[in-house]
Amino acid sequence: MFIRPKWIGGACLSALLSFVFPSVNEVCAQTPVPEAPAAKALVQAMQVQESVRIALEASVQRDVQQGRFTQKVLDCVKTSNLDFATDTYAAAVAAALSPQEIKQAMAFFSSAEGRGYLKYSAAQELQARGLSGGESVEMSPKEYSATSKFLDSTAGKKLLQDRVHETAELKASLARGMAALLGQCRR
Amino acid sequence: MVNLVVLDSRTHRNVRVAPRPSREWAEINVVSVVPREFPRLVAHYPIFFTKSAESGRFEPAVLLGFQRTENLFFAHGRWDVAYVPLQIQRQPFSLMPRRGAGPAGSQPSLDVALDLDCSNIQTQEGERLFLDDGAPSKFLQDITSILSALVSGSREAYEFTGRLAELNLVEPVRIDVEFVDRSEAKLEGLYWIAAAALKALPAAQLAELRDRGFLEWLYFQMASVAHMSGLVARKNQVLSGVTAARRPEGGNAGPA
Amino acid sequence: MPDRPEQRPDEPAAPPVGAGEQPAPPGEQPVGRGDQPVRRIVIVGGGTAGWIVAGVLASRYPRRGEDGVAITLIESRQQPPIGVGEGTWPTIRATLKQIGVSETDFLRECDASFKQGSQFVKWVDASDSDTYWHPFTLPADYADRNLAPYWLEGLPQAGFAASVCFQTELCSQALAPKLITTPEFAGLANYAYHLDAGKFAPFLQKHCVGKLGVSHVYDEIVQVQSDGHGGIAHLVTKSGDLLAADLFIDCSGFAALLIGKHCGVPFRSMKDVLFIDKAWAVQIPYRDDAAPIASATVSTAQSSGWVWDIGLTSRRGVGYVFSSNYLSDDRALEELQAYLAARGDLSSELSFRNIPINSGYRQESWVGNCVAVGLSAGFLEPLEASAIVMIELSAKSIANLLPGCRSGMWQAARIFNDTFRYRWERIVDFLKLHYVLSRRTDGRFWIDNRRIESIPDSLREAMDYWRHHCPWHEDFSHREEVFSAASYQYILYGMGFQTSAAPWLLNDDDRNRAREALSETARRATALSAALPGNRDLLTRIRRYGLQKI
Repeated sequence: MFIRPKWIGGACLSALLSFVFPSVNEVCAQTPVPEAPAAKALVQAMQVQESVRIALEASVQRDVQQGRFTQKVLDCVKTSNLDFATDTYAAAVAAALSPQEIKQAMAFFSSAEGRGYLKYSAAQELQARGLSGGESVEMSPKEYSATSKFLDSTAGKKLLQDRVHETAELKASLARGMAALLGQCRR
Repeated sequence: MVNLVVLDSRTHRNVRVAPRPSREWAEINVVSVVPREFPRLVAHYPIFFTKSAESGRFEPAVLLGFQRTENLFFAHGRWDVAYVPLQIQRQPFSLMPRRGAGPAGSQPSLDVALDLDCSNIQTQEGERLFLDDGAPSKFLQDITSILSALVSGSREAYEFTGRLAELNLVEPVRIDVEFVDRSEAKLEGLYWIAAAALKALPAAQLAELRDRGFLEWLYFQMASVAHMSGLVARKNQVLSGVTAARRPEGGNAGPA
Repeated sequence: MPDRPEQRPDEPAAPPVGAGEQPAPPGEQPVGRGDQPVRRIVIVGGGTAGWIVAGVLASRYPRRGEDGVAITLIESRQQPPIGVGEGTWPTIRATLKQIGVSETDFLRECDASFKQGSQFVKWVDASDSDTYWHPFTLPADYADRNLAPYWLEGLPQAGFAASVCFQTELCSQALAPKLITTPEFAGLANYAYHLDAGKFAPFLQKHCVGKLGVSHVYDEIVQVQSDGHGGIAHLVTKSGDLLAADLFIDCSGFAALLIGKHCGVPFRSMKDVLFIDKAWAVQIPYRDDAAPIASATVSTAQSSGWVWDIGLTSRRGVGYVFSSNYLSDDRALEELQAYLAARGDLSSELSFRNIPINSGYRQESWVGNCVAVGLSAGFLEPLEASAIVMIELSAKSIANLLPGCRSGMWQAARIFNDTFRYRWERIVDFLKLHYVLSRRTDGRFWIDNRRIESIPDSLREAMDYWRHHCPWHEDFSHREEVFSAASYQYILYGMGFQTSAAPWLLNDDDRNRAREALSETARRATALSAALPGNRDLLTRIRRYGLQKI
């Protein structure tokens, strides 16, 4: 009913908002990413692409409101392919986690409890920003217990607490991909 | 810019200095003074206290004008009252601490230094600094006395103002004046003796001030404030286009 | 006077039964010595609480002797004061002034530095750029309008505190809030202090005993004697002395000798709301004499709690407050050491102290003629340095409410209890707010902190209201709140909360003024950060020259 402030960040990747989107005068070539199917599946299960999309849209939205980009650019971004983000993250995860840990993480995120955790995280984002209806956001006891277990595991610590995969290289790679995407949309 | 070098009878044998205030350091509206000057200052200048930017301590100073570079006592290269504050008289000379360690805990020795960038320095006219045999000239000796007076005077000043502050005898004053052309000046950052606090001072502390020689300095400051009207009058003369006439030495600098 | 609930007609709080005393029959005021003047005050405990109370009461009531007020402070030499209460609020300046000490002496003798607010790091999503400020200076234009809704409209790039308060810039450059020429207790930005609590108590003691006529006794209390009417008649000391008084002030710390042990007032634990129950504390030396001194307390969130980092002139105080339900002592110590190692501060010379924290407060602080101040009254985690300000407020309230005669004491007690119950509840709400606004899902501590059963109703309801209304003065009912609406704004908007204000309640005039206020803030930030010295520079000068009184 009320007009809400329009900027929303992504879930656990709101760090992306702090990236300085480089001025897009040229399309930067993307460095090819090594194949890592298990890591890729994990990244997809973690719904990384959705978070990236939210962060990117929020940022472009702000540019539109401040007159830097047109609405068309935003519309284009909304429908763009963000596979590069999945690939970038997959490469980073493959480099940071052992195959065992990737398996462990995959088991969690592809389970009902893991998906419950993701839903909880997203809902918690909105709740903490005052954007949801004010109802409480809770995990079920099963989801909670599975999450606790995962957080105590090495995979959980690496991915969720220490975020070992979010290296400078990852950020640079992401930034390049986003720059390329923006460049294309501005054509 | 200041370019201080330690004076040396060989390097500076032929240097001469014009013995009068020069524009670059006379065009200021506040000059710090030392209490031993008060008997001479009280004849012409309003004396106040200001806070040192370095230490926050109170220092005595005289007010010469209402804007940063306005000196109403100085026009056409001449200072028009008899007594010139020591801080102006000493220019372009200064003191520099001597390098190298002295005995532990001692104050560093000070050498007389000269600001080479000053326009007063020449080689043709003016006072010689050194005689032919390398001895300091009378002019330089006088300068050295002035510098020495400033050093000890500065110590006295801090003892004086420090004690006044402890006894709560200093209070801030705001100067709000209007000139003949309706323009205004508002000055802040000045302090003076709090007359009411002085009146209420217990006898023992009054006696202490008297015994330390502070009492007369205190009264000189209070009396000197009467010169504010004279200062305003000088400004009014300037604003009215009346050029500052040359006053006879020791003449009355009271209100026009 | 603060708004009070409906007056219950003639029923005072029934004093709880202490050892061997009769409770007053319900419906009757504790009768007995109604005309007895209240002239003798005994303070138990010589830490920060004891001496602040002594100083405030003694300076407010300077008459001594036969027709004056007698103030005695008794402390046992063996009990060392806790010494972790090291942050203060700007009220401290007025309190020190009231007590009559000079700021110069205080800064020199208590190793104190200037505190201009708090910085919160990694509280929101633990990303690299996750940091926000809670400065002491109010937002621009606070006297005239609520800037927050207009700031929210503007899709801001900089954080809330950075946009509306010039002090943020000063803090981020470790600058001082004043100049050497600024008089004592005055500042160009609102400020308080970080202080060495271990030096603060002796400093105040010297002044209270030497200048204010407070009597000081070193002795242990072996017995508390009731007066049979719900109050305390006298204390019996180890050396056999009887300390009689009309008012007893319990500043005995966690031991709570009077309010807890004697009066038996129950303790309301807040452990289910604020989970913190332990701390590791350590003192860190500066690398050298020129190391910068921080302008704010830094609070860095960890896996199961947060680390405080406070810069005094002589050293830094660092500690990890955590919840033992989520982290063992050993693991917590590792995390603290990792924090230090990351800053190059870890060394084998450091000694770490383990401190238990019993989070909560007394149901009532004032019972009969006994009132608790400080740790004996309650303690909550030091997230917003509320301990010392509560001591100050208590001292001020006692001084304001002090009745002339014993018959008035029950009313003073009732007003005091209502006021401080409200204040404790608001502090709990405010601290919990920091946790509820966090989006961290990387640990059970953070997840559990947002469970509905751990959130006080008052906070939940307030946050509901703030979803559509920016906090403002009117929201808070007391004349003197511990935390102003501005503080709530700094936390809410610093942590990314998005109030969606009704657009028809906003107007262009205010919008334009808000825009001007924001530009003015930026301009002031630039101007002041060019003019002000660094903390280290100013504190060194003050050590050397002192500050002038005017």
